[in-house]
Amino acid sequence: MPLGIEQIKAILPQREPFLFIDEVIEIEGANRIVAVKNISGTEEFFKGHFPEKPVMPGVLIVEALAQASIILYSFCKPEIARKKPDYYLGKVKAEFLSPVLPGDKLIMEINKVKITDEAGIVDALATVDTKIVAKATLIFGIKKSEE
Amino acid sequence: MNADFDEELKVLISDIIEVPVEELLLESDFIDDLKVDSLKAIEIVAAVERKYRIVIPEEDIPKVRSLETIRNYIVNAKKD
Repeated sequence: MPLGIEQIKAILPQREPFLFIDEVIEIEGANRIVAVKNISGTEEFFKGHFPEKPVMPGVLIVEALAQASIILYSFCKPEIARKKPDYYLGKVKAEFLSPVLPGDKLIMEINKVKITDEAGIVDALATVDTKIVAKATLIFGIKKSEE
Repeated sequence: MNADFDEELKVLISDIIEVPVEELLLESDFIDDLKVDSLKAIEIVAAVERKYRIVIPEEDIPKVRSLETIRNYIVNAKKD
């Protein structure tokens, strides 16, 4: 397994209950990664979205894709990522095609379009059982943390 | 490269930076005149790379700061 939870936590600043990556199962150099989030159903957001009818909010699928994008960035720019910069989401174009439900294994494929020191564009695909549940293009920025 | 190419490039960039086509002059500096930030800059680069099937290496991005310089960059890249 390319990356486990401890290695993921070493890259991502997010923590429970806002960490949406469980493992990274594929890494293709600095061009593509595949990450997984197992949706158990015990996540806090299901209590309200929606009572009696749990559905993973689309914005949280985008958040999960954004977190996976940070991991890809860390492979493109390891020296910068090592210094724990601030990552911020700038623009999102997303389509949601099917609901994500408790018990689903959300597979997220992130493909690099362009990554520089200061910004990144990626194409992202989220699937459950090979069915596409969401597609997105994410543009994000990277700012060095204040020393 | 002809007038159509110039117009097409101008429309592509004005769409990304949300500046009307008539306000986007050949020599307008993306950063100083048009307030393009690093996120818009990477969008321009990615859109140009995709449309014209060229690669703009990261070290060249600071050199393409206007419609004119990006135009010349594409023309040169296509020549090679």
